[in-house]
Amino acid sequence: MAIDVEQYYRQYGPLVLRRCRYLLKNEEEALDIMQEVFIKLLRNEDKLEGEHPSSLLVRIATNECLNHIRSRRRHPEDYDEELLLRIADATDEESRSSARNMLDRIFGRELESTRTIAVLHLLDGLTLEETAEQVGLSVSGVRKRLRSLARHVKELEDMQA
Amino acid sequence: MTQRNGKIPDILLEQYLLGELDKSKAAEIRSLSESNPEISARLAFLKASNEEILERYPVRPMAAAIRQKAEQSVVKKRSFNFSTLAAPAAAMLVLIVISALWAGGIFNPPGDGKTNMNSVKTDGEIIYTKGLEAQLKIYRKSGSVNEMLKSGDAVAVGDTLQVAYIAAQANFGLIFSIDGRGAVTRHFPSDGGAQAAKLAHNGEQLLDYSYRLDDAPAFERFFFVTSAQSFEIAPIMAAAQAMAGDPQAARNNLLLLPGGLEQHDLLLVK
Repeated sequence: MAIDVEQYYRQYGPLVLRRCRYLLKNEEEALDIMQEVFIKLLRNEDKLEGEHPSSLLVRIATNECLNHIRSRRRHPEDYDEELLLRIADATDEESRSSARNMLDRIFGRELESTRTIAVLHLLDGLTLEETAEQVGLSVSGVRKRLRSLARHVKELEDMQA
Repeated sequence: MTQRNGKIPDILLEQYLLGELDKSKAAEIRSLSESNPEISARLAFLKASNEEILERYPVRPMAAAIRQKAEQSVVKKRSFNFSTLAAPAAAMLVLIVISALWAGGIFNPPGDGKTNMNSVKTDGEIIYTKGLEAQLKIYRKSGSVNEMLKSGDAVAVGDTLQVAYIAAQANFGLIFSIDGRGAVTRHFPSDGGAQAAKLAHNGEQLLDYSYRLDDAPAFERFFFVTSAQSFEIAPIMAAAQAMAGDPQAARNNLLLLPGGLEQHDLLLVK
């Protein structure tokens, strides 16, 4: 299945750019990562079989943004731009602390797909069922991943205590 | 739709507009959009945002930039493999090629202002050698001596630079620089025209004037954008301006260019 870049960008470019803007909060970086997302799509077009392009693109965009943020975190001058602080600002006060603590550790410990699941569920507010649909897993699979993630977070918190 | 606390996620609204939600969820959002002003406002915002994005970043140039970036990343990977796995062999090959060119009178050392690196003259006819890329060259003028600078070389405030190019296979070109303060300066063509300049093919071409470095910090990066066909300068300068806003990008990134254009750059460090 050959991808028509123009057609895909026309149809899905705004979705992907908004996703990158939302996670990166930087127009130029978002634009750059959006292009990377479409390049990834070109290289993984076989994965388009049998699923909506928007779900795949959202997942690729989320992963790419997380990777970008992780590399940005290696530079001390970029620390203030850390994604999770912005993410926390967008959540309600009650969930703020736990979401920040949990997501902050995802970058260091968890598998890429688990990070995406965590962002979709904890940040975007998708239910477990909706998250499962987006990533192509069962609800129990998503729950298991999140439990594993929570366990790692607890381990890290215990180590720091 | 599963019960949730709080609002419907944007992702679902996006997928609703794209027609990629299952029927029951789509029906629920459609119903909500008719009864809930907040949902209908968010859907209207997404539609307006779609238009704004496609107007700001039009389809054809963006698709061309994506394709070009995809091709460049493949080329980069190949170059990396070549240089890392066979660096000594590559260096030997370059030496042999340069020696051969020198012995054949093709390569003349820089500094005489009109070297002839990409063409061979035989019986009054110029034959352009194939496979050589367009080149951007910068010389530091010191008295009567022109020191050729390479990417990564250090320069200082007050240095006088002479910019030159070799067209090779390209027919049209644009030269500009971005400094560490984010200023974009166009060097060639210098006539203020809207189209890229027609390139001369008889060897290395020095620009008409030299360039004195000011006190902009960190770096000065020169770009030579070339093409076989004439092209408009404004979109390239707009891309440069956009990149210049981020010093790290201006120092390291490639320009986002439409298809058919090539870029060559040279970074000088302060």
